[in-house]
Amino acid sequence: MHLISLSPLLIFLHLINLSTQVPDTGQRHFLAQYGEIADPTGNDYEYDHDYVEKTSEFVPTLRPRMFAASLIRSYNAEKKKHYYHTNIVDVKIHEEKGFLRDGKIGKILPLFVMEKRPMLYQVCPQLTQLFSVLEESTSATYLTTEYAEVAARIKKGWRRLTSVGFCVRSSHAGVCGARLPLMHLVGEGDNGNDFFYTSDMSEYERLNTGDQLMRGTGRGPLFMLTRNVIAGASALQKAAAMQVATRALATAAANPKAEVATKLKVTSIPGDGVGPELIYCVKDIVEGTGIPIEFEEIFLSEVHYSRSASIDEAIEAIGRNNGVALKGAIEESAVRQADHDAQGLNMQLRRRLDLFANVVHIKSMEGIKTRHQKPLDFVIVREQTEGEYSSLEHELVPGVIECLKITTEPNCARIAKFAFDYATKHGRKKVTCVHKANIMKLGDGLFLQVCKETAKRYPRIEFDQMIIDNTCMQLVNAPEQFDVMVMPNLYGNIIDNLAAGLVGGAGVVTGKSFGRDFVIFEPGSRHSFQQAMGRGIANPAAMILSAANMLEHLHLVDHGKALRKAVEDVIREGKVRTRDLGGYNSTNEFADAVIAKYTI
Amino acid sequence: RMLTRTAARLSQGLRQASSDVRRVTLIPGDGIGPEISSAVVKIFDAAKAPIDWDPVDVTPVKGKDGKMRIPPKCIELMHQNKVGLKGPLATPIGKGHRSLNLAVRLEFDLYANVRPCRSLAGHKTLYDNVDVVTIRENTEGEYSGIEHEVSKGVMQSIKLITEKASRNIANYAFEYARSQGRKMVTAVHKANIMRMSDGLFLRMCREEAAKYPDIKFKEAYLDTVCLNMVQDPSQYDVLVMPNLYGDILSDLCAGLVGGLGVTPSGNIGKDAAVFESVHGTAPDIAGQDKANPTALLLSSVMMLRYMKLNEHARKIENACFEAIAEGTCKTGDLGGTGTCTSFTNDIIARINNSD
Repeated sequence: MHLISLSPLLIFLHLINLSTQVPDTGQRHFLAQYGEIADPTGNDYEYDHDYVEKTSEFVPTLRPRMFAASLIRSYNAEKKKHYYHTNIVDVKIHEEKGFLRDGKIGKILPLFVMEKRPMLYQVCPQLTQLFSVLEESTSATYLTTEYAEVAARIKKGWRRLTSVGFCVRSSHAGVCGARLPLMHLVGEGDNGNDFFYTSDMSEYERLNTGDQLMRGTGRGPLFMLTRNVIAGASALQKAAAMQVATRALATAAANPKAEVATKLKVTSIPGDGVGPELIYCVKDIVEGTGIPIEFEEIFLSEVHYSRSASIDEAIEAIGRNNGVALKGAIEESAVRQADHDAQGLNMQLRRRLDLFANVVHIKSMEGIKTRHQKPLDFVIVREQTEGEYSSLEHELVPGVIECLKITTEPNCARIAKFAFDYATKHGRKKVTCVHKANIMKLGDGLFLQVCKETAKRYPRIEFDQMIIDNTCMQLVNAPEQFDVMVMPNLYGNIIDNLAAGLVGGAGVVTGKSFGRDFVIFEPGSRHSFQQAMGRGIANPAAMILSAANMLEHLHLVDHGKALRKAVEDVIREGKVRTRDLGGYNSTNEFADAVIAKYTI
Repeated sequence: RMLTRTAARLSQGLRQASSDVRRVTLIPGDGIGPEISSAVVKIFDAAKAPIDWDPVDVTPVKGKDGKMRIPPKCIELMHQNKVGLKGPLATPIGKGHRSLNLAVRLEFDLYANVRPCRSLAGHKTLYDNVDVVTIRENTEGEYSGIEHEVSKGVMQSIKLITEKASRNIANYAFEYARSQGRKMVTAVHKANIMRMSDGLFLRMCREEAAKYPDIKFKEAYLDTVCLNMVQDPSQYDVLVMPNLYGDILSDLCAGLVGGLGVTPSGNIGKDAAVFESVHGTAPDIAGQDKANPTALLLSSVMMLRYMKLNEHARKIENACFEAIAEGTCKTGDLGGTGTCTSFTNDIIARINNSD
């Protein structure tokens, strides 16, 4: 069939399950029989038993059922390849080699395997079989309308089938309990136009909002491939993203031009100084690599206060974009100092979104020369909503000003718990509380006390305490001793910056501000770097790595990892370096280098 | 009794006028305190510094009101001499008395804490081009000690910034810079967050800066200074800041040059000054002749400069630096194999040789 060109983007996964039972051995047997399939035994693969059993119901109807029971990912260590396939089946089917038609078993459609990397998908030779089946089965009785149409189109001559996918929908009118696939095809027609075909438009649209698919589908596969090689989106990546997400994802509208149908939306707050340049850098990278992210930009600025969006608008925007934002540094302006009680925009944002924990990960990067030359890997957890930053100041009498530092038990408990939970989740061994309780006996005393009590609930994590002055000295002389550090607001500010200086400066360190419902990703040491504004010399690594963190948070794990690896590769190679790392390259040159190194 | 005291003062005044010998209150301290103090005394002798020591014991005694306080004799002596040299004091365990450091500071209104941090040739650290002086406001700020529990589980610590104290410290910083030939004073603050309090501090610094046009004045955020200090300390010269930031930054700078064991420190007031070593009492090595007197020695050098005895200061300081640079007799904490005595003798020998 000339119609099916072996475009490297072609993927096809398809199978029939008509069984009522799913024995393991039969499955493997089947898998081994068809196509180039990695040996799923003994390798790492995920297999959703529940799903398979649920879907193995067989309800005889006139429609042939094609559906995937679950997604298996296996890895062949020898060949160093990942294989994705859906499992099937049934011994019965296998033995009889057919699918049900009118109570009789017809042909089994084969299993296709996709190789994850590089961007070549194996096209199972049995693809042709599918279409021959479709072609053959034009008698409407046995085929759904969809397949007839598809067959017809294929017959008509789609020059190139660029994308095929199918997914499982959870219910279908007319058939009780079974899961049926819907199929959509995107192809290039004779006259060069794209066709986008779906078997059930309404279903697809519902699918788009994510809700319908997620419910009860477990690991049901959703494969939507992009035809854009450069975009590099992996179908299963998206499938994984769809599967794991538990909230309805805010996505951009599907562009019928066969773009990646769903992009996750996030808010971007460029900020002041070099912030905008860095954010645009990330946008360029996102566009150049096809990462499925779409930014909604919010202009927040204290300096340009007349043009700035209000905090409410910003919060609303973050809220509707999955609660995630990528932020540059907002400069605190001295201009509007008349209202002393007003908190700066940064503090307002943190308070309103209740971003109580700021996590800065200090990690040595290969390729950055440091004085101490030790591999560092520690985390600074900083309480971000109270403490010295409470903005409660007043003039008692002329010439005497009082500034209040507030420490509350609930906030201390919250941040302490966060620190220990974080340590547990990431396999960290020690939490150090940094304080000045010898002087501020009540304030920091409370903080220390609460940390100690929290530590008792985590017996496997070592707890240590250190006074802030000593901590600074230790950081300068022996920074490798630290693991997770937890501290109140001001000390966090100091230690964040000190530690950032140890591993290469403000241009390479990332930070995350966590709240219960919102997360903001930003460079770790928040400096707007006004001197470099508009000159294109700032190091975007911190912002790009923050974006990588954001991608991982959004469950686009592979994209995030690829992006991080690209940045690390560029820095390690050392050919493209911005000024802070000893070179003279520009921000954009760095971004280009990252795009070039990006492979997923 | 008053007569005796006046007579004593008169005779002392005469004494001072005649021989130009300054009397300094010496507080040896605890732990290694006595050893290093005697080392300093010996070195001063060798350098023929015109200093007479009045050693006192500051162990708190119970006063009339039942509170533990510094013995009144010590206070009197300080008022007389106006200059003191203090070794490390052990923090007594138990309540009912104030921290001695704090008491001394308050008694004499020692409002400026000065800590010069300079890389020592011969004691290599990761940073070899440090030459920073941190000047820290010593009386107020976050350490005013005013705290209360506003309601259950809510603590309030008060940071006090006054115009007077800020002006004093700013003025001191510029005077120090001028007298020591330093080029630049940087005010370290967080006025972006603490707009009123640090804003006031900054304003005072600016006003003073206007009076010293020969000295460059810069302002920097605390976090920026921390970030830059660990990357390139050579960009800073004199730093002036409120209490808490000063505490942290001065320890940070000390860490850059080798720790508290080699860092001098001085607490300066309007008409009195106490110079001290800021390390601990090291009870584990006390009495074993292992202690390093460098910190106290360099503090005493600061003291000499304060008293305008610059020539003696230079002599002793050079001898000390050379002794460390050459390293044959330096103590264990500096990586050498010498003892306190051998190190002291080495310095004395160099002083004698340089004459």
